[in-house]
Amino acid sequence: MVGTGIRTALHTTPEARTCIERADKVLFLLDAVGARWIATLNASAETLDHLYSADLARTETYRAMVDMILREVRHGLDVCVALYGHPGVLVNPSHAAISQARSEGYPATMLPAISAEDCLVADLGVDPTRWGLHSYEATEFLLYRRVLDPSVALILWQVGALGERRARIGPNPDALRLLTDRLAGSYGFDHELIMYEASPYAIGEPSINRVRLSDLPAIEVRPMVTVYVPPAVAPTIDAEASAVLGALPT
Amino acid sequence: MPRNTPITDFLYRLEVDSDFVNRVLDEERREAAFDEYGLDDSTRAAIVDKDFKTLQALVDVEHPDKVHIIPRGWVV
Repeated sequence: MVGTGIRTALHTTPEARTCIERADKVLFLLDAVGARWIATLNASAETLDHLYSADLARTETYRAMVDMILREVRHGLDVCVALYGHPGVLVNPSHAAISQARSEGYPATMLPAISAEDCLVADLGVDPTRWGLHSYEATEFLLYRRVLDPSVALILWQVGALGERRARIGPNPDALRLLTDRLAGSYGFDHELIMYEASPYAIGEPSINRVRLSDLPAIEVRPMVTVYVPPAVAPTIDAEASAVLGALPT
Repeated sequence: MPRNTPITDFLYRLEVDSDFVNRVLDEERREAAFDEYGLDDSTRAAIVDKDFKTLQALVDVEHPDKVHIIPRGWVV
């Protein structure tokens, strides 16, 4: 299981590329440019994206992907699955396929790759360890009513598919308003959010749009947008810990 | 018959050919690179402006059957 990062040919590690080149069978989920590239590395390359259906729950689609991967594995082939971004971040079928393969006695491994979060850190110039970081899939953030600390930054994934179970794109307007209200409870309606999207191409600036939280329901949210919410307040220093440690954080 | 996808081919070349990237970044040489792929004026402008959203829309037109990837399902 390998990832091709965000800019496919440029972000794929030499280790992952070798896996793609040497595999008996390559299955992939990549954009059109990535598909063009991977076909040059391995003639067996076949996309999984035809398994998406606008009328099918995505969880069903992911099950079908796992079935397709395991079918090739059970034929005794050395299978490499190449996925956009990091294969283990915000991906269902990779983890499920590895788990299924291992349970059937087949060796299965995942290689690290560049994720959208890696690009966000670089493009926004933020250090996730500076003030801490919450990171949630947007729909699950609402469903599980996650508790936020406004002194910690927040990343929300897949806001562009908020409340949508199928492969359709476009957040549910009611869900977007609910998300706005929930965030306002911790950060306030005037807080500034960043709508971020990395460029998938070798030539292309990242998209970085700063918006007020109160404006979120009226904004067009593109499918691959990630929402970054900077901290709203400074963290409180714990007096006891400070006394024991003998120093204040810098 | 292979599909005619000059913008996809151009963006692919930018990923795999660093000399080509240098040609495209060089104002004096970029028009010849654009001509090589028969790119129209709006595509050329999007490349010069490094406007990936416009380029993405143009790539989508070349691949009308391509599905946008949403990699993760959420579970209730």
